[in-house]
Amino acid sequence: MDYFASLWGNIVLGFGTASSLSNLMYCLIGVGMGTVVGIVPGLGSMAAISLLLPITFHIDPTSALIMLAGIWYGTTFGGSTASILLNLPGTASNAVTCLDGYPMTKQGRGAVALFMTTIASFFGGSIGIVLLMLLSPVIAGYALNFGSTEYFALMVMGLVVASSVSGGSFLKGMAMVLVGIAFGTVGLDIYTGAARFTGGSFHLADGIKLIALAMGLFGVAEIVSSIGLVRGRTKLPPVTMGAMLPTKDEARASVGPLLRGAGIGSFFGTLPGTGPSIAAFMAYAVEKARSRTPERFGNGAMEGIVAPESANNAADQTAFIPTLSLGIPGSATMALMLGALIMHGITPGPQLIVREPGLFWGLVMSFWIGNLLLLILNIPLIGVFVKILAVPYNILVPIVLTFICIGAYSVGQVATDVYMVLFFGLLGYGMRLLALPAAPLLLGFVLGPLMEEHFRRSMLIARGDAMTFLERPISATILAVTVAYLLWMAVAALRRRGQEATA
Amino acid sequence: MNRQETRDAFGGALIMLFGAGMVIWAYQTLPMGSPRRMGPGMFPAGVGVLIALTGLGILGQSLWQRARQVAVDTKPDVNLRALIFISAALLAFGLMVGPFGMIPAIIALVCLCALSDRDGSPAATLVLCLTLPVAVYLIFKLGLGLPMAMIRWPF
Repeated sequence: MDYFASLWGNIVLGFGTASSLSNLMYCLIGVGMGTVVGIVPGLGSMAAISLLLPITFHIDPTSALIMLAGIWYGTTFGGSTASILLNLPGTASNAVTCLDGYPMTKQGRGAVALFMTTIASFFGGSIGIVLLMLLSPVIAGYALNFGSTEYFALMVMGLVVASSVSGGSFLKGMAMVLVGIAFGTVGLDIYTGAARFTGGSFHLADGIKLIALAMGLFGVAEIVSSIGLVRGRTKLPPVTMGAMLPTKDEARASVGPLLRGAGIGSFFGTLPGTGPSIAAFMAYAVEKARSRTPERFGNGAMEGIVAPESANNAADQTAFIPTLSLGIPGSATMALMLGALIMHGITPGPQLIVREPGLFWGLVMSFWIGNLLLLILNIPLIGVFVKILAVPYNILVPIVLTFICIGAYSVGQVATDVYMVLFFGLLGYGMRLLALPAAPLLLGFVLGPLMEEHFRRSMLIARGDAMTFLERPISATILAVTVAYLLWMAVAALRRRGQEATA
Repeated sequence: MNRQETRDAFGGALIMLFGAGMVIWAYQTLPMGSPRRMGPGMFPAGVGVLIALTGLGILGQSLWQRARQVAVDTKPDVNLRALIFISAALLAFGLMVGPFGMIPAIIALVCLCALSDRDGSPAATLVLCLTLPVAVYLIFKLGLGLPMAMIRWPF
């Protein structure tokens, strides 16, 4: 009962933090911004979070995280709207929802689809939050015994898996993680104080700023490559909303997909690299495979929108489990959340929940408030949000760019930070042209300094014997799993190639 | 550069150079130390070696695929105009914000942004030049209380 008693105490504490007026406001800003960004195609949560990251520098860390997290799950919530009404996935994790959501709009059942995805999103999100509340303290408690060696192994596994799943070639992902780690080494060395790769610049002694790197890679590069792609105004198709409530049969048939979607989403959310997009895709595939009438899929099947939306929202929430209980982010967005904590001098890891209970539980409880706010924002106000799509792109670009510049400049009041944004923007654009993924770079950049610290500490403790990573059982297990995974990847790739050759 | 494998080969070679450069730079400027007590250069040099190896891997993979002719043609869309004017906009902001203050810097940025797309409309640009500084003043200076000079006279 002890576990539940302390859980209840923490819930009360968290709710107290999350319901303070300023935190409510930041939560509302976050989910509102997330909904908008989710609806506008081409603007992802990464860009939006990077954009608001400088602001978090000036506010309390709990509020900062509440706001950034609100953008993250709000995007998924709002992204389904664009998928259903316009056949334009607002974000990658809503792409599957287009398949059955848009046909429903064409049949005049757009309102039912929106209503049901909103319910599904809320339901999936809720399951995810409950798991987050129940599991995080347990996992963190277990991980408190971890030493530097275990941590290093865990980070290696997280980075390897994350960079291989996030799409494209494994080698490219890995190369970008390493380049990220390389950028993370710039600045003063923590052990000796030696200036590394600064070229004598005092400005670089503090290291490369996460804000400049994120806004360049995900903001500026995004802007440059999207200019000219979207011409003029997006033409809104005549949206016939019709009745909002589903029929009794539809409601009953949605219960199973809702539950399965939430389960699949919760599982994939916790794994590094998978996240909401893969969760949504898997949930859709499972429903289609289970269905006795698979031919309805693609023609407006309710299961086809309910399951993926339940899954991606559940995954949004469970992604916080490894991030907050272990300090190992599974995706670039989660790395940005950790980056925001590090900027405030808070070290991520299993001590976080114990040392900063107000922050952890406040954040978790704010998810409930945020999901409720999204429910309110999305159902009656959907018409207002859809109007945002009519804003021409050439007005959006200067506004976004101005925010990026002010954000970069405001942190240190030096123009050098603006030039850094430009540098990473050019790098990001070049990487896009060469089809090199940017997300692993950010992941490596955030985890790099922590990895180095744990690596050097482990080596110091083991008196310079690198075998320590294989002699300690937990670290050996983690590394063995990583190697097994790599081998499996290699075999799968070779088999694919073999099939291509025979085909 | 139209083919994906050619671009991969180029990317792989660049990554290799990056890694090699990092190793050389680390060796020339930083003490390596011993495995037991690592100097500031050891970890970066190790990362550099791994980067060079993955770059080599990407290069090798692309050459192998090229020989087997598996991939299809994909043409990258280099939007040179957007690239130049967006870069110029950032540069102009950085150069002007110090000596002239926020408002002139924003106006310079907005005007250069307008040139980045052939659809840029003068009316929209004018409206943005007038409204954006006001919005920035309200949000950042009044709302968040950031210290920033809206306008400055350097002479």
